[in-house]
Amino acid sequence: MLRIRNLEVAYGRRLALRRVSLHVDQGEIVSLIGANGAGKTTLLRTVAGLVRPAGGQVLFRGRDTAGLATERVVALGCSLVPEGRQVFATMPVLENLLLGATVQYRRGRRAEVEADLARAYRLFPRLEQRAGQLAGTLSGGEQQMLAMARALMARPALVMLDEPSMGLAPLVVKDLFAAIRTVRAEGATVLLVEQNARAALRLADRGYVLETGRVVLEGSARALLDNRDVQRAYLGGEPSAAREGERP
Amino acid sequence: MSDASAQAAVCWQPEIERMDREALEQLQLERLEATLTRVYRTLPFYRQRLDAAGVDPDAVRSVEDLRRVPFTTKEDLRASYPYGLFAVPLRDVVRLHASSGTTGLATVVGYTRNDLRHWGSAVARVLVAGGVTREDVVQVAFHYGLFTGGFGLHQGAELVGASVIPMSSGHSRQQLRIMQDYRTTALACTPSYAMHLADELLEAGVPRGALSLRLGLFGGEPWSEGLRRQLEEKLQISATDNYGLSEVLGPGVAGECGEKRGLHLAEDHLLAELVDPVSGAPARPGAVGELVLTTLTKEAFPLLRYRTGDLTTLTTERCACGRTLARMGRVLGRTDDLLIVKGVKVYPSQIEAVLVALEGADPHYQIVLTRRASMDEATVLVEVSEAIFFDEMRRQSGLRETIARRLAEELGVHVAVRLVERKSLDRGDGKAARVVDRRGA
Amino acid sequence: MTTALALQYLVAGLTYGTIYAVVGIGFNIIYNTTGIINFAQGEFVMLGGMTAASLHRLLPLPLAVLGAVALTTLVGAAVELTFIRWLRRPSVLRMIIVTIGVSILLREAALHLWGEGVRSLPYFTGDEVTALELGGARVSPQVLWSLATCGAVVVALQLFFHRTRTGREMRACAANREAAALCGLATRDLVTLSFALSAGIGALAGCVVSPITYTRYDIGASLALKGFTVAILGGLGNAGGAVAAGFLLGTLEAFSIAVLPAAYKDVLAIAILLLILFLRPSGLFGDRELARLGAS
Repeated sequence: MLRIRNLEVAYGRRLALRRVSLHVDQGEIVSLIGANGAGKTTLLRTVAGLVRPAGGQVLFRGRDTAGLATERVVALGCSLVPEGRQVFATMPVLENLLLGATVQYRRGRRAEVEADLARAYRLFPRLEQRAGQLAGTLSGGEQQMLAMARALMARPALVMLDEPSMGLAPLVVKDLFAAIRTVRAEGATVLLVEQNARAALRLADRGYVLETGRVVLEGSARALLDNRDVQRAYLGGEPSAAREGERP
Repeated sequence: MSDASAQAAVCWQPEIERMDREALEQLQLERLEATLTRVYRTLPFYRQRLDAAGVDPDAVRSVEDLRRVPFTTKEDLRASYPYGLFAVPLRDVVRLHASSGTTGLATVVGYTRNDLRHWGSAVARVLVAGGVTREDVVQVAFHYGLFTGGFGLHQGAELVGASVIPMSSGHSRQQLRIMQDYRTTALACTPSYAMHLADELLEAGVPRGALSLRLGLFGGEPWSEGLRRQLEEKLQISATDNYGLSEVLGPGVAGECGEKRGLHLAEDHLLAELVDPVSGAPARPGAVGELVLTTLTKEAFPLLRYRTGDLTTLTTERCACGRTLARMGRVLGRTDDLLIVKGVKVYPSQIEAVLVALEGADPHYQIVLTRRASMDEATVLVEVSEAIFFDEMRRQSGLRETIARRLAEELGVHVAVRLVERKSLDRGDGKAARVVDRRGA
Repeated sequence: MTTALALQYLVAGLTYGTIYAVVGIGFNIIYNTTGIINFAQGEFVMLGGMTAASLHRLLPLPLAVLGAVALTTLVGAAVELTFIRWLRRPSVLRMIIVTIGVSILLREAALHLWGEGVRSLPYFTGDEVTALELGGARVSPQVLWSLATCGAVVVALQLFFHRTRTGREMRACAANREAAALCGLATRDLVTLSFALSAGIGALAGCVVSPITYTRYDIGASLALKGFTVAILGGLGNAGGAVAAGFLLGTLEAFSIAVLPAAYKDVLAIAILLLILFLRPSGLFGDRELARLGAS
């Protein structure tokens, strides 16, 4: 579904991404982990059309999206849940959700919007309770759910999430990730960027490790979890001998 | 054979083995780039090599670009003995294996947990392609030890779910006994050993019906179609070839499917190139060339463009079995003077090194290879001084035994030694005279 | 000061206040949607009045006004398409400079087209001497026209922004432009729309008050200043606040004549602007809470 080859993205003089290649196949959950500044957010923003690449190719469903306007990328079926939620704070929850469905309205699928709204409330009951509240008054976790639900209203084929767990309590993160699983089960493909490497890899099928704008490791989520360097750098050290055989 | 063909269609990892080539190339590109980045960062050897060649790892963005990366050779591996090319700390390495030679000419390879997993699945793929299922009883008659053959096949077979008999090599009588009693269905060993066992069977008068054997997974040395036919007839099995080398993985690098028209390579773990052995340039399409392998998933012991020294062909044409992985042809020969004696790699230079160190022996020798009862036999003719040659039998045999012992230690395989008169060996020019191979097919 | 005089001043203040309010609203629309302070806003008002006056030579009054509004709307869109759209990552300063440049351009164009002369539309109803008696003050019907127009604009905008999908999209664009783009909104087109809308309502205001205040090629600059003051005073982003602030400024200005020489009228606006920026940048009516949410 998504195929990136040798992507190069610059911020001024600095290269945020140097020849990054990765792919996401239909129905997968792929996690991108790495330290701050590694380039993960830049990657997602480039795919979403917010950033113009300096080189390389981004193929989404066979179309080259490098340089396409964001609205076109969303219309093609790729939605980004951005870092920091970015809800429309001065507008109520319901309007946030309806705005997420903009592309659906343009496609003339009003009936689907109704159904999707119901589905959003099913996934995140709290949002229904707060439908009339201004989005800016929601808690961090609720805002994250709103941001996710909003992106899903467009019925995207690929959902990209940028650090959804940031600043959220572990219990909330658990709910959020459960929602991601549900979303995948319902047919979407997910590309997840996370600082919380352990949670991200447990959720994902495959993963990539990004360091200073380059991919240093690729493999199944399990292989990444078992990779010592990953354990040392991102999973809080190596497991003790006693826990060696255990699944982390 | 239709039974085997039907089974050939079964894949251990169909999502990989039947991947469409575009997706495979994308996967290879990603893994190649990640490997380059990692290797440049963690291995001073490669960082210096790439810097010296003026190659920026970030600039390698395709298989074509990879050609600018210098080759890695056996000498490089030897020079890094033991752990110079390990990309991870030793405590992350959970297995060590070695290839040919004891000191000075040996190579050590290491595996992390993930490496073992990948290795296992590569071998499992080869076994399944050869027809093995979990119902099978697999007798592994490769040597268990530092060499990768025994453990490699063992791991793969166990993964498939077959019942594995870790026989290791040798003890032919016992091998046959076990083969009958344990109802072995698949035999994994070198083709020459298989032939030897077949002959022993005949000699022992064991009726073919007493065996449950149906598959042969043979590798570790080059062997001909003629030998395959013989083996298949004598043992009433379907015999497939598989290829491996410990520097890069072990067994599991490639294996034949039921079509028996080429060995499918584990292209998700290795990037295969074919180069002209003299110039190093890419071989012309369809031509014979030297197989060069780059590891894509190795953590502990990654290698860039390793010259295997094996001459073969490469094709990406679709195979009737449905696998899309490229196929290499049977190995046609070597680019160097490496010999394989009883499945063990022997470099004539090893022999030379032993002789030079020994008092009394001249470093002029000739290795004569013959085959008796389907087993390789090696005799090393060593020139000695007249004094020794005409000396007492006792002293001569003492020297002969010493040489034989030293050679066995160094090479890892037993060779007979004969002392000959000085200058009696054909000088010729260079290597050609060193080896007389009378083994035929 | 007699009640009648006071009322007279009040009425004058309301009249001018209308324009100020509308210019302020125009500022707000563009600012909200794009974050740009459009210093050419006053020129839109000027263009409305001038174009209507010219069109009136050929067309009856209602059509002239309609045509002027339509044409100025197009000018607004054209300005955005030509000068604003292709700017990449503009800084605030750059945008201010660009819009000042545009205002100069439009002013010069007006000078060339219409010369230095003063124009005006005829009174919509009655003429310059028609007057209604309201509590001792003489109020021209045109004042009522302008108040009504202002009121209609405010109501229409309210309906537009809160009851239509496009209006909602513009509000979203204003709340968070990047998030809007991520929802698939055609943000660039919405920006163009905001310019067009501001130009249109500015032109309408210009038409409605031109019988009283007259229009000249150079009225844009001081209008922009006052409109800007009004927008800030009322709280940037707050339409109702802009209206209230507009009337307040207009009234203050009108009453200032009693105290200061007429020439200092404009100075008052500047003084008020500075005062607000020092004391209460969120404006008199700016919702601190809303501003905080909007900033988050």
